[in-house]
Amino acid sequence: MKALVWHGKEDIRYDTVPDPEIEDGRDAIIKVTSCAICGSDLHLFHNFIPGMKSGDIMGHESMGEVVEVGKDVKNLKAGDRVVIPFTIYCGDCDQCRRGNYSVCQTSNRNKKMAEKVFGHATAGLFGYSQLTGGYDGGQADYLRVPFADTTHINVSNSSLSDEKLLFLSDVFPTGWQAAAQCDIEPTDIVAVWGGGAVGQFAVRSALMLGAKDVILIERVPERLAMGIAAGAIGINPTDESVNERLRELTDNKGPDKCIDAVGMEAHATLSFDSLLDRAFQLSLMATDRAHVLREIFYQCRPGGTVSIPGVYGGLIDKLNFGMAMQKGLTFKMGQTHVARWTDHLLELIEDGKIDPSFIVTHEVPLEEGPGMYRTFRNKQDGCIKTVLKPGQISIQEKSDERSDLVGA
Amino acid sequence: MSAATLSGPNASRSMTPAMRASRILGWVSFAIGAAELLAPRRTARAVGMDDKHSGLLRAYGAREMLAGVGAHSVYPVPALWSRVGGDLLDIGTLAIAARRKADGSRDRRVWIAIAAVAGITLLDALVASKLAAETKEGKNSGEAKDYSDRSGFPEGVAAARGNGIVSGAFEGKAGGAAAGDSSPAGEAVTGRSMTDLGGAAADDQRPAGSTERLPEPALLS
Repeated sequence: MKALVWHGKEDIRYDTVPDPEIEDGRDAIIKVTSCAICGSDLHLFHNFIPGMKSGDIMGHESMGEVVEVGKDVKNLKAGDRVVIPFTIYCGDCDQCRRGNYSVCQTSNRNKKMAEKVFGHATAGLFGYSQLTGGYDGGQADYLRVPFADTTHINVSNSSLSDEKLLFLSDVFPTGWQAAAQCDIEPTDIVAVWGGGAVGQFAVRSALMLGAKDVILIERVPERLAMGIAAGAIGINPTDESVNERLRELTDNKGPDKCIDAVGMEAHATLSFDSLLDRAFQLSLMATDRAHVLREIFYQCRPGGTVSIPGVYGGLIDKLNFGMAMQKGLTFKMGQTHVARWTDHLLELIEDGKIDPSFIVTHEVPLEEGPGMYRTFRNKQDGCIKTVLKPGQISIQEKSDERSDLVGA
Repeated sequence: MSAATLSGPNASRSMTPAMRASRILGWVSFAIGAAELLAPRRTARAVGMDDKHSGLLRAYGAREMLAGVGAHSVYPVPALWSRVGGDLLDIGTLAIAARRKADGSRDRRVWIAIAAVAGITLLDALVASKLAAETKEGKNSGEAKDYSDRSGFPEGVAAARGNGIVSGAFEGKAGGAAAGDSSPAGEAVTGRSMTDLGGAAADDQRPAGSTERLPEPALLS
């Protein structure tokens, strides 16, 4: 089959790899109909997440059709249409029973490696380094789904398009969890840093969960416009002072709830801390650029909540934790417990209350995926979310075929 | 949604030839930097210079190492332009050495070194300008994308405010904030509202979107 394969820093290729096979009774194989490139894939693209191995297949946002199931999978059959959550979970362990699916105690098959790095292992994830199990990702023609009897969202009964359902795999529940764990009250002003896909869904989720106002801080104009379209108040740090605007909008109190939808690769500005972050990152003395987190510490209202869906990979330098302590901030973070939210979110989609396909800016054949990583990373062509279509013919192939026909 | 405008023959590999060239130039920097740092006298003699300037050669070596790190970074363009600057400095230094040598012991190696550095300077400039163009490509060309009609709310923004809060029964999967919940995962849990899962207080009777303040909680005594 064909897949997008990681070969090293910034080096992703459309390669031929062996087809996946059933390895365990709880496995299923799906034929991928749609998959997407996530912002957190860029951390792998840039080699900021430890534990990637040349040959790893990328992708953790996928959906498709079941083609084969293991002997222990009783609730799925060939032909079923499923969305695959990016967190692999067993459903049986203590954490799964608590709904903490992203820290499932069973699904990470490289548990010992993860325990050495994190103290305790977290769940297995698709296409997200050896530390999270080293599972092949879904930017491929086919995907093996471990613990498939639990790790799926069955959408066989839905007539909605892939583009409306695909984002149940990650970015919609991630944005939703970011807002939900803020415990939003009707008087709350929620500020969201970052207008990528997760930030966009966090804006919409905060609004749907009843926030009084939602503010989006984003420097890319088209991303800001997309947030404003959903009712957010926009702040572009390139044009105005985030500090002054936030003070003005919150009557000098600061936002009650702050969401960091940027994570470890905050855009390098000419601020002193950003330059230091770059220097520390280059000299391997820190792994993450935490400009946004520092800004949130400073801006958040005392007693407020900081919710962090943005991915951080390791060491952060010059973070004023004393400020957070003195202000009594509450922190909520982590990979998304996807299955905790998906029943409700599917219902919202089916009821027409939200249409997640608003986020799709590009749709291309899988073959063109590696080029789209570059486009996405460079924030070119208004790229916010790319949907990849395995099996679809590329523009290049089409033109080759046309030339062949003309030649004949 | 639009088809990719940047697709084409290079689309199936994420690294462009310019990106690969930048990596190679970075390795060249590391190699020269290591030679200048570890064996400055031998390096000086190899390019036909006096071996009295080991301090200067070491400083140049440190500069090369930094340029090498930069050329391997996510945005290598500034590092490549800094390499161009460094190359010019090298040419200047070699030219001084060539002039000094001219009166007595002529050494052709210094002129060969100048020619080699000049060639690398051209290559550095070419790769830097190509990479800069690739990064800007699409950002500055074509129409700016307009997403101001993409609310994602088919019923409009006003209708969407607060409509994610479920006040009645919510059939969700086991989990949420209830630590110690022993419901089997994947099994429907009835009677749990979204508010239990992180929304507003479950006993909040205010209409969605209300701006009314919640009553102050009783002080703990």
